[in-house]
Amino acid sequence: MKLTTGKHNIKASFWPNIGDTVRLALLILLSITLATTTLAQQSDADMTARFQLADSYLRSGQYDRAIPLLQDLYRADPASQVFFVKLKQGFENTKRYEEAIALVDSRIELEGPTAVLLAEKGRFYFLDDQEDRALLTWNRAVDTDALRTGTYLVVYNSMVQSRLYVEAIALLESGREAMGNETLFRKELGRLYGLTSQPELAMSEYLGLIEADPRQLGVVKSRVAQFSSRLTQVQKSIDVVEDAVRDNPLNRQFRELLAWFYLEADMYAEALDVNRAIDRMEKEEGRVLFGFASRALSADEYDVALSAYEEILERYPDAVVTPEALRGKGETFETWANKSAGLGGRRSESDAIQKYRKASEAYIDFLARYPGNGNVPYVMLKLAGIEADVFDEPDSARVRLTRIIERYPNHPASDNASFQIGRMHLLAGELNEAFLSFSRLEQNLRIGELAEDARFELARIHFYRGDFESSQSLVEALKENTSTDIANNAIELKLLLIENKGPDSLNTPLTKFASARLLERQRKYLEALSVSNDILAEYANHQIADDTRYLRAGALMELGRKEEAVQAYEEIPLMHPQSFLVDRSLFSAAEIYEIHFESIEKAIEMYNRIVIEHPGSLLVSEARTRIRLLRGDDV
Amino acid sequence: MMFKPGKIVAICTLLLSMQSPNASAQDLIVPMDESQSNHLKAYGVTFWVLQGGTEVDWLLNYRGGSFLMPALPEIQQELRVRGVSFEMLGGADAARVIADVERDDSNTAIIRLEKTPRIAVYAPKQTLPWDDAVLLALTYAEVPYDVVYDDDVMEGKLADYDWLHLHHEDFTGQYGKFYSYRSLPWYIEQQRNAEETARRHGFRKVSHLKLAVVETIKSYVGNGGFLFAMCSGTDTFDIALAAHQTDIVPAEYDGDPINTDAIARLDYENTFAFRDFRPSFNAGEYEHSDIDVGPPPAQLRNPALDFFTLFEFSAKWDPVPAMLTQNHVATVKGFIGQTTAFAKDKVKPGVVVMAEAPGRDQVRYLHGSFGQGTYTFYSGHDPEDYQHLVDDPPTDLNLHKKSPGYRLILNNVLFPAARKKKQKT
Repeated sequence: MKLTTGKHNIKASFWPNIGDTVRLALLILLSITLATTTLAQQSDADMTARFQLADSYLRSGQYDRAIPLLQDLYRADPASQVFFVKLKQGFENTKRYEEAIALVDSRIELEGPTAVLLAEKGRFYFLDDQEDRALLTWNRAVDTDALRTGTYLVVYNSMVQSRLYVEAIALLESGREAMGNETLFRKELGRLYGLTSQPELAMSEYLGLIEADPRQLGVVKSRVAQFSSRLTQVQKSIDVVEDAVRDNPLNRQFRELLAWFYLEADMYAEALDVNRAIDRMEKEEGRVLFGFASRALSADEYDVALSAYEEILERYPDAVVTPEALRGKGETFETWANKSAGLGGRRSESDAIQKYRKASEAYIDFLARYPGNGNVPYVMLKLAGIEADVFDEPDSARVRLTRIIERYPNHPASDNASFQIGRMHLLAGELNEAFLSFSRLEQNLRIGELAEDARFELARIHFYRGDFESSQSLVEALKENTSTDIANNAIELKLLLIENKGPDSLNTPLTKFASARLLERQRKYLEALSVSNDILAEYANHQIADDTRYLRAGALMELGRKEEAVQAYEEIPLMHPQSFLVDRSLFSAAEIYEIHFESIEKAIEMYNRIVIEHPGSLLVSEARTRIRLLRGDDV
Repeated sequence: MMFKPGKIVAICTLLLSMQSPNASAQDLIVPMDESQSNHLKAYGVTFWVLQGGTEVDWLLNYRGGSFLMPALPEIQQELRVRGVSFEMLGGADAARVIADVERDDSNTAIIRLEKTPRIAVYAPKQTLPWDDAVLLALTYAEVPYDVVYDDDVMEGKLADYDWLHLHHEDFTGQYGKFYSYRSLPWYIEQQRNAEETARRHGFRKVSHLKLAVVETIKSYVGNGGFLFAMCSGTDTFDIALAAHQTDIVPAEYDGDPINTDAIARLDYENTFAFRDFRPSFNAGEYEHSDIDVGPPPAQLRNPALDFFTLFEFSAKWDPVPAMLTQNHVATVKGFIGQTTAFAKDKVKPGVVVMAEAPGRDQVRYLHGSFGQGTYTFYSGHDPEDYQHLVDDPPTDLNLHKKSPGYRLILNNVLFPAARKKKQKT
């Protein structure tokens, strides 16, 4: 037979030298194979389609439709992992736990009792409220390979899913024992102990983790933060970490963790000790201590901040951070003094003075030791402020401020120094020089808080000079800008100017009062008292009399004549019942009784008068609070 | 028989004083209208007066629901110290006020307050990063209270109290549906505490414990207790009661899925105020059910536009809702919460609607009775913080002394102090 077509040629080449019978048999066999393959392919496509349908039912929550389809598919192909997983999910979502268990059993028959399958079976027992059988099954799961870490982790995951933390702890502990390795499962056990409110044990695990890998410190802190929301838990953790530090004094991470815990518990003194140790151990030359001191200062932990700064100064006199530590020491004393001064009372006053003195010493030391430091202008400014406002040393303050302006004309501290110089002139009674300083500053700056302050000082200088018109025009502009702090002061000055003019064209009583105000500002209280007495003697019926009495009472207080001061304050409501200063006078009298005379009854009486007689006063709320505190209410 | 004129005056005075519940020689009135400087503290002083054994008359619908009390010096001092305005009334003035309030043609009435209720606030010991408006109100008004929680409820301690408050609580056992916060310490601690408590009381799931708690509270109300709930303490209470035969808690919260037939097995007969609602089964959705209509849409979420109106009840014939709605305004600023407002169609018939958002089919404040007790549900979280978020600072009530929204809470505190009378309706 001759094959002519190309197709036959191919066949001929494909079937070389085979007999017809054999050839026919092979052809039939091939046809059957092809048919079977086609059928199988059709069957696969059908299964895929049915599976996709079942899966979409499952996802849309139509379990009654999904499960029969999946059961059919699983029956058709019990080896399929995907059918098994989806059917199991279907049973679980419909709480058909018995069927889920049977399904897992069928799988176990197929694959053997693996840890994964038994763990899953145990979980279903638990969901089916068969806790005992669940535990037995989990034990069986462990027994499949009790010397493999993975076995325990599989069962651990099932238990944690069931929120059986105590049982999971027992499991992992048994795993450690079985494998003779106490370092296993540290992360897992740390978490479990945290979840079961056992911070000491959790910390032991986490410390082990850090010891093995110091890079885990951050992870541990974030883990610990999750269960250390209570102080008692923090305290318990601290005890453990303290022991660890004692046993491993050279482990930096342990110490860092301990310092972190101390700060969480606001134990700054203890945190200082730890930071000190880290600093020394790691030869940080004060850097660690400096960072800690700044944090302590921000948290108003002044004594701790000071200890840290002083430690740097003593131990590392030539370190990079030493100049800043010295400045920090001054700032800490100054901030502390400001706070003490704000508390009121004789004891706190003298305490504040001592602290200002130490701040001043630190600043002077800084300037002497580090004349080239970039912060010198700031330190000079701070020192000048203390000298002028606390120690009444205007001359040395002025010299220092002038030096700032001359040496550092472009430094931001220079503008502040100019302002302070203006104040110095004012305090010295050099009104022209003061006026010049404030005018220049105001013209240089034009806008900003310092410019507004300078403008208000100019208004005050006009007032002190008796140039009330000029003063008034300036405060008119200032009071418009209600966003500035000095707007209230401007309004007060304006009212004083408007209400107290006359009776003559020279406004003599107001002029005298202005001079008394200047004397008061210059801390010349005796002279201010004298001028006040003169005004009251000459112009007892003038409307300025209430302001004068108020100023007089304040001067008496500054002079330490407290009995006279309180009497003077108490006179104001009697002599000027309509005055806007009545409530303030009563409040000041009450404060003297409360703070200086410690006479609770009289203080309450005074505060009560504010509440009863001046219900619209801004001081009523504070008066009420003081009454309640004095009578021991829990407010 | 002839009476001398002097005698006639004396008898008239006696008769008048017999009619007048509290008209003593010298009284004072604590006005609760706009003239009051601190409405919230006024409730606290009234409570304080009652604690001292002095009775107080609550003048319903008279000057915003004012209080009339004897003008004893210590009372005056306390009012002053706490910053509460008052007006002195002579004996005749007080009698006139009382006569005025008792007039048949006015919608006013006098309710005698005689005994302070013992107050319990249901709240966890754990500090959570949001605030409870009732605790804020009681603390600010200086009304004493005890804090109780699951252990106390399960141990039967509710019997020691007349008044129980629930606020931002989740009685469905889903931890407030704060699933997105699940890795934060407060959430972990909350979940851990709840699970421990559940186990301690023999429950495998927190939802089972919470169901037992609501059933106990329900019995407490049935036995004459007063229940006041706000925010999610309202709807989750009823959802838990309705779901007593099924599981509506997604696996993310309790480890197992909801019942597939959960909706069909909800028992609305078992609830206080709501019916026909559908719980949300989405663990990630910050919503418990469709009882809550949710906050207004973003474009309308404007405190200036959001408000609700209080219904006016007959003071003489419906004293209870009248007491609960005493206020110096008729329109109160709206505020959002996990439960912002109740869908009107989900409120059971027979429940008294006391406030609603106009034109929105939303109920904001409702009241009902169960057994011998009553319940009041008030939607929203914080009446003076339009949208109080997790970790927001607490509202400073010194800045909201006249808050009408907070007044509604405090009305509930005094309401159990009222003398029990036979119901007129």
